[in-house]
Amino acid sequence: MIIIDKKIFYLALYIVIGLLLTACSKSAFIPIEQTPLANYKEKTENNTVEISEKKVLKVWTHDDILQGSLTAFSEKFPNVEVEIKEMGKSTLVSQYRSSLVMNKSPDIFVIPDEFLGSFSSINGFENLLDEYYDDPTYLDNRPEGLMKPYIDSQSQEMNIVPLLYFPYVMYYRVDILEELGYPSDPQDLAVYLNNTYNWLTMARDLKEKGYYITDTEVTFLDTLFRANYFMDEQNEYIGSSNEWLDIHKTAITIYDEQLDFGKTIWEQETQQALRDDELIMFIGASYMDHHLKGWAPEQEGKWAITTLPFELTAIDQYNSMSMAISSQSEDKMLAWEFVKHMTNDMLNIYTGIKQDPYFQNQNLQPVYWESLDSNMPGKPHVFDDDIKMIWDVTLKNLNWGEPFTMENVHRFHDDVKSRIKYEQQLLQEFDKAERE
Amino acid sequence: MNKITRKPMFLVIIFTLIAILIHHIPVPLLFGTHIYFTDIIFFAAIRLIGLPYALLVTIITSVAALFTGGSIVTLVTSIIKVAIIGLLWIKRKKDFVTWSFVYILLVFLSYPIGQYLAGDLPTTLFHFEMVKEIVTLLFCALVADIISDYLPVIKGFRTIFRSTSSFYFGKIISHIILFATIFPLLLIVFIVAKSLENDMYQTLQYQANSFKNRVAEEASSLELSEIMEFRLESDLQKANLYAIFSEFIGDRNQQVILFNNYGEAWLTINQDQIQWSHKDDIQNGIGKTIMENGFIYIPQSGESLNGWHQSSFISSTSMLSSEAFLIVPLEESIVKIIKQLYHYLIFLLAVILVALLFTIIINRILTKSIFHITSLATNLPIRMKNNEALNFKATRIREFDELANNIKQVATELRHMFSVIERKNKQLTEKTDQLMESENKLFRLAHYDSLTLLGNRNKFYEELPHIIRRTDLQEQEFCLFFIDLDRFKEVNDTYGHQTGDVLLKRFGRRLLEFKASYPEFTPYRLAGDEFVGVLRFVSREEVTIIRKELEHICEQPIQLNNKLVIHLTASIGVSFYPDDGATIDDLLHEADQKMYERKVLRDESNDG
Repeated sequence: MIIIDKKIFYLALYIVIGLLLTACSKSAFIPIEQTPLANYKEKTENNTVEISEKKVLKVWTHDDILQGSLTAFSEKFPNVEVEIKEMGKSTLVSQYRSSLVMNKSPDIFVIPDEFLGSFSSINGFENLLDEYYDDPTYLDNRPEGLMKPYIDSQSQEMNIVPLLYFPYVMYYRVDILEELGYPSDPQDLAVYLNNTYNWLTMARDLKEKGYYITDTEVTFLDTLFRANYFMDEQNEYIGSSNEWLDIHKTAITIYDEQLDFGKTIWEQETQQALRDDELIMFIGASYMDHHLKGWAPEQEGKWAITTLPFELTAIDQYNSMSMAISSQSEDKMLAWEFVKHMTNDMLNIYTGIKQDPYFQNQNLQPVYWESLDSNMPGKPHVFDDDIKMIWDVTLKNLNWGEPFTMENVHRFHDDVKSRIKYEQQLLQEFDKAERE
Repeated sequence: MNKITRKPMFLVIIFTLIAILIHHIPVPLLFGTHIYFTDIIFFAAIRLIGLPYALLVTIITSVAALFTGGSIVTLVTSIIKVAIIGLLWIKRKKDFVTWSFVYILLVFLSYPIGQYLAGDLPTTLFHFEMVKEIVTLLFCALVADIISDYLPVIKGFRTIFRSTSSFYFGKIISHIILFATIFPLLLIVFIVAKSLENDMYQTLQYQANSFKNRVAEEASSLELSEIMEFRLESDLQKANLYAIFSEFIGDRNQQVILFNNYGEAWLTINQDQIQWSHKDDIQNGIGKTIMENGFIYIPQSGESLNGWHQSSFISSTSMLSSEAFLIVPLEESIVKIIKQLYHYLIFLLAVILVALLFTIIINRILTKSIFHITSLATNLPIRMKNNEALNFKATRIREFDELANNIKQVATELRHMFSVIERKNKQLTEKTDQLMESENKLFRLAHYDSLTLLGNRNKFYEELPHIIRRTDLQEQEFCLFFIDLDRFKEVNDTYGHQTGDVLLKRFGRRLLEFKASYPEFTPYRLAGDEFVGVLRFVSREEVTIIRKELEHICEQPIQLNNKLVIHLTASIGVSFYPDDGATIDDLLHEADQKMYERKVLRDESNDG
């Protein structure tokens, strides 16, 4: 048995007590990471593109146009199976949004451009300008005007990219315009018709000579409303801007002076007018070349394509599509590769095209490129649906015989403004606060 | 310095442990500030175990404190504080409260240094910390004084601490007044601090509840499409919520952030204060739960007043799939509360100063009055002795004046009593002297012959046994001289008894004079004309010489009066002890015999 001196024992005891007292120190505060404040769910994602095991990439779309490009992608990523699910356009928006809310979204969404507004200001898509997706060539290879509506200049985010797009161009009879002494070169004609006065003068003159340069006055307005966006980045309604009001006035003049053919291009009569050399100019999306060739095959070589008059820019929203990568995707890099592959493929439509024997253009590519590159003043917006709905009602009324007057045009704009007023104010105040 | 205690190192350990314990149980004030009473131990150590040991205790305690959130600045200031106050106390004594004031003055002079060390602490908070430290220091100094004064006199501690000094009554009164003044006010400060903090928490609770209710109200009012928009974090829904929460916040300096399940902040209202884009940004801070889903967040790693100044109250509530934070910066509230408490502390400081002033005044009055009483008592014996009146200057304190008057009355009574006693004493002394005189007379009468002033027969018979005993012990001889005056009877018959007495008296004187020359010779008168002398001697030859000398002395004429001179002779017989006898009677008998033989021889020689 070890005998310890009493004094040493007590000394040791005191030292131990002292150390214990030193060590014991309690505070009511804990590291913030240990409080519920810091709790959140971690995102699981695969940050690599290298695929060693079989992967499935899910794509939702309303129209599977991707099959043509799928083979090349599969060759590049043999371990990747692409599941494409088609769904109806009418339920597409709610299905897409629900999948995001329910956390059951696919990797990639294909979004019809007419519904872009419903997806433009929500969370759920990846920002493809993030350095994570850094690819400097992607934007450089694309027309600036085409990409501008997809990029939020304030937040520098791009959540959706254009997949398939059909710019509006102007089709015209080169031979007739040449004969009548009007500019026939595409560029010359485009410059000439940037001026509404010139256009009206030409329309009047050609009408007297039995020619029409537009199918209906509504075409302009329809082109304006269906192929453009009415809200800008500052949540301002630009539908009633001076430039566009000029177009409205031109449309009304066309209506008043009956400078138009009177029926849309889709009517048989109008198509016949094409064949009869009566309708010698019309506006349409880039896919209209196919229809034109079907309607007047014998007129091969007589037509040309140029950009829209009045410096208009338009892209057919009803047939164009865009793509977005879901933030819930577990293979975002792979999804991005898919998106890039598909969108690059589609871009080839306008970069690969050179000549078409039907049209006199030496090179069609600059026409389309210029159409795409022109700055579209507006952006997809949450109000697009409401505006389109009001326009649809207005158009219907016009088609049913309501007089096409500036008053009706103004009423349309007033209806729009009234409809969006409250929420517009909210958005503008919110934006102002964000900027400050 | 005098050794104060016998066990310094043992006490260093005890003091250190107590100091560490006290450091670990500080009294929380508010917002991370505490009041540490460790200075009590440090200062008490100065007086109870000495300054070097007190510094050791301070250093160990402060170093231990470093491990629990203390700072180097606190360590250094503690050591400096103890050193300065300790040195002042050693040099000038007095009390710690006094020297604390001196230290406080030094602190004021080094205000710029303090501000620099305080870093980015706002001025209001810095001033509050200063005043808090000053009040704490003064209170600790007072308690340390009390402990140091009274602990050593408590049973059980007397053997440890050797203080035996008594207390000034004024000091006791000062301690009581100061403690009774400061302690309750200090308690009130604590209570007020707690109350202010609780008030703030209640306000925050109210705001949190309002926020929760507003969020619930908004969530319940959303339609399905709006819920969808909410879950998709659409700009429109953001704008709508922004408007709602902006209205809720109003002019208040608050912030609302909505986080989704992944911790991403998808809506922030009022971004001026906190810039959180993700919950990962909530790092490097500490949090405390003060209510359900209500937290105090300090963006620092430790709780301090500066941390609280930068803190925020965060109330979280769920809104559909998101988490809504209401963030309330506490800067303004805390500064406001600290300012209020600062005023309370200033008031407490003022009260301390006033209390100190009053204790000084009371102390002076008491000291002066007690001094007068003490002087009165001190001078009492002298004045009474000198039969002088006692004078006392009125103090205007009734008790002291009454005491002085009582003392004066007592003095007067005592003076009277002493005078009576003195008189009686004098009488007693006289009587005693008389008695002693009588006693002496009696003794003299019993032992001395009144005529010749020589020892009488009583004395002879009393002293001789002692002489015999001393002689036996010292082994020294003595002899008896039996002296008989020749023809004394003739003189007595011829000239009368009166003349005979004169003769005897003169002869007695002669014997006394002879004794003066020969101290070893002691004469006695046994009766009539019979004289005895006791001689302690060294040799027989000396006896013979002395005998012959004595005979010669005796034969000298004695003048009895102006006309009468008598020539006498004396017959001297000598007996030696123990040769001639072991008893007195034997020796007397032998000496008498020899005297007679000599007388006969003398007569025969005279006749011849």
